Amino acid sequence: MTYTFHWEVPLQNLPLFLWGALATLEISGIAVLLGLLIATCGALARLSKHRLLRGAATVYVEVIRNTPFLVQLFYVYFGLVVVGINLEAFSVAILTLTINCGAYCTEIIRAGIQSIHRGQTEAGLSLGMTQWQVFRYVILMPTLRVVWPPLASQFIATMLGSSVVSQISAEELTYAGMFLESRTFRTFEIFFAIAILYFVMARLFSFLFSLTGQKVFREAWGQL
Amino acid sequence: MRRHGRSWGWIAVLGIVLALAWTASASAAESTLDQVLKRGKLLVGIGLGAPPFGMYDADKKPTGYDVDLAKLIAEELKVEIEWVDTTSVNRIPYLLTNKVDLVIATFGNTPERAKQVAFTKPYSSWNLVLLGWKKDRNIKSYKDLKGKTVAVTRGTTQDIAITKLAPEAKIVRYEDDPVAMLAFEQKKADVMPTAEVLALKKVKENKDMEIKGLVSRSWAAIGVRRGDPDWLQWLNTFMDWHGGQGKFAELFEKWNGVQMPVALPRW
Repeated sequence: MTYTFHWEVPLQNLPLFLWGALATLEISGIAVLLGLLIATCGALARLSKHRLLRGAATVYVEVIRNTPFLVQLFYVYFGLVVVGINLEAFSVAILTLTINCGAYCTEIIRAGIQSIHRGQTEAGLSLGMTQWQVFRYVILMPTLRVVWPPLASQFIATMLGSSVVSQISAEELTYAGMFLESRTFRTFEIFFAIAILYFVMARLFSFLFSLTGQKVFREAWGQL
Repeated sequence: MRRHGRSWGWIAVLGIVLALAWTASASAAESTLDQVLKRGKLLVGIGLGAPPFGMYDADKKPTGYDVDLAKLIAEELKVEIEWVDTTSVNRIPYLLTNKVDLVIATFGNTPERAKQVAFTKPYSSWNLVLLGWKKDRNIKSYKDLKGKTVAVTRGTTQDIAITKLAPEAKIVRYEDDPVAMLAFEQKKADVMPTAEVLALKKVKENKDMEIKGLVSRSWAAIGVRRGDPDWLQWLNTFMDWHGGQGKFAELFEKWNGVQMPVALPRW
């Protein structure tokens, strides 16, 4: 009744794992980029003077942040069929992850924008900058500089959270592992290998973010 | 960089500790048979999402063929039952980590699985058929699945059989039977291989569905941990005794309304 380890199972199936890891990077990479775009618009809407815009953004953020990701996933995958939209699992995975990531990042960016003193905007305008210039150089770039670390940790959370999408048969790293598990039943060895891959990807993510952070914001600071 | 090197060392140590803990938890000195008798309780891994073998009744109590079989075992051992609901995905891990004493959950005794767990003699058998839509006239059997989407529950005998028989099909694998069935019903898949008794029920409910021929035959047996001959021997003695009385054929008919499709080994 002693458990015998079979490490050759994950080792022999390394290509399957690497393919899964790439799919995970694809899903979470797209979700993070689109999520950031949504979040920027969302944050502006949250701080907008228009009540309707503000209300819509608030509803979006509150609904997404106060329901489980798995429920959102099933809702989009099976629920949209009722209104005649039948998407395949991979698209649903990216769509739902984008919406989810967008809501969390909206709050992070909103907090960042609010941390910038109103006086700075006025100063920018009085220097003769256009509305767009003020938004870009006085609000957006300094905001991103401040919120980059919390954004990075949200992005990593999104990447790790993407493991849930295997539940609707979207194929990524966890799906690859569970598929192999269903054929070889080497649960421990396989999940150990998956854990290592997720860890490496998370480190890679945070390395990339700190690198781009340093590059982008040093220049942005210089322009100001 | 030195800091990074050190953190990798810690991760390696953590990994070894986890591995040792796993090994320790999986080893036990005395037979499961003695443990169950001493404990006065049998931990049954059951699948309650697979009617009519395992399901909940109106009072939220487990019921079905597998449930009746477990009750019969507990009766012979004169112990109580604790139900542990498992899925086709987690039933083997549950067994290997001592969370259950045995698994009775439409568990097909395939040679591949038998490398990981030990099976008793089978207590049931069924035909796997292909459930599809009437409008798909060009799909007549599993041979016509090139480029078609097939919904299965990951790791089930259906999954294994169709993966082998239809290598050019796109197979989408779900976590449990109800989700796979919902995906098929929502036409996210063209066909779904499933037990004949279940397929017949679905076809009766939905006039647009039809059965597209036989996929394979399968048995169900009780799964236990390997390396525990006493426990396996007791269960096989139980199987011989009740099989000889015709108990399994009787239970199959009670729950499925039809006779068992393939003859079990004769006693």
